[in-house]
Amino acid sequence: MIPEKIIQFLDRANVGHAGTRDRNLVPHGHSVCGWTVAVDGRTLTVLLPAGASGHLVESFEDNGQIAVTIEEYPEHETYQFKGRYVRHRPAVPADAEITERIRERFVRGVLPIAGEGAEPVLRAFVQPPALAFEVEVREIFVQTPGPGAGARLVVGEV
Amino acid sequence: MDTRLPAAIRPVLDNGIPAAMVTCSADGIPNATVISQVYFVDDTHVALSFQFFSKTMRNVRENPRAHVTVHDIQGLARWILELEFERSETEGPIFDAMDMQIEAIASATGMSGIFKLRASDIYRVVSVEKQSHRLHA
Repeated sequence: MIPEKIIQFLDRANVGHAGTRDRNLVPHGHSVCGWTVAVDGRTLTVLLPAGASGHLVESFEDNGQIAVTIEEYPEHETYQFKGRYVRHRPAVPADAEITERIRERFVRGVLPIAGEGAEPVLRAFVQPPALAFEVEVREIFVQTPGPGAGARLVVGEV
Repeated sequence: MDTRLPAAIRPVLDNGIPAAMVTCSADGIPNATVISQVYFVDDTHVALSFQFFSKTMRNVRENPRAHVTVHDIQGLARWILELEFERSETEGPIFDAMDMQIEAIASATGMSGIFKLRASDIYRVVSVEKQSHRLHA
């Protein structure tokens, strides 16, 4: 199971990015606009905006390897989730609600740094979801900057 | 022919917003990290700040390809860089300039004493693409 501490973190985090790789071991990055933990406590559903899914499906079909890094900015608390692709689907209205909550958290967190006039562009930074995929999380790593960065928090299948 | 960085990316690299980096180990496990700085070296090279993540360091020495996303929040865009690792520097003008910028970023974000540059990793630019997005209605 994904630890409760991490589930609480996911409920306050506001920035995400995913990584895959193709059959030639070339890495590909994908902007992330939402995430949620399934009721089984092991599966992470990750949302991507339009334009962020290049090479994604062919990489999943080739090898299924996925890494997702999620951060609470500007506090810099960050964790990386590694696992296996389970399935993907087009985004649905419920996904857009998840993204909207993350967008609100991002704007609330960054606006004091960026200034009031920046609100429209901060909102646009978190784009609406177009695609959702599920990951069976197997490992979680600390990536918060500092001496503990890189430590494995959960070993093997969660 | 070498891929050249457009002039329009220069201010984006200097905006102090963290970038996202993906690498892959020789046994095929991707790794996604946040990096503090993408430094313009010349028209065909950038340097990435190596601060904490030994996995990224190991990966690019096993498999030199890397994927970096640089965010231009004000410009409503993200820049996608495909890179290939060439070498690492722990002294010299690139390292010194990056070290000074890291100190400034750390100071501005309350991370003084935590952000510390260990090396400047130099990458050749394989491709560069700008992806624009729109304001929400």
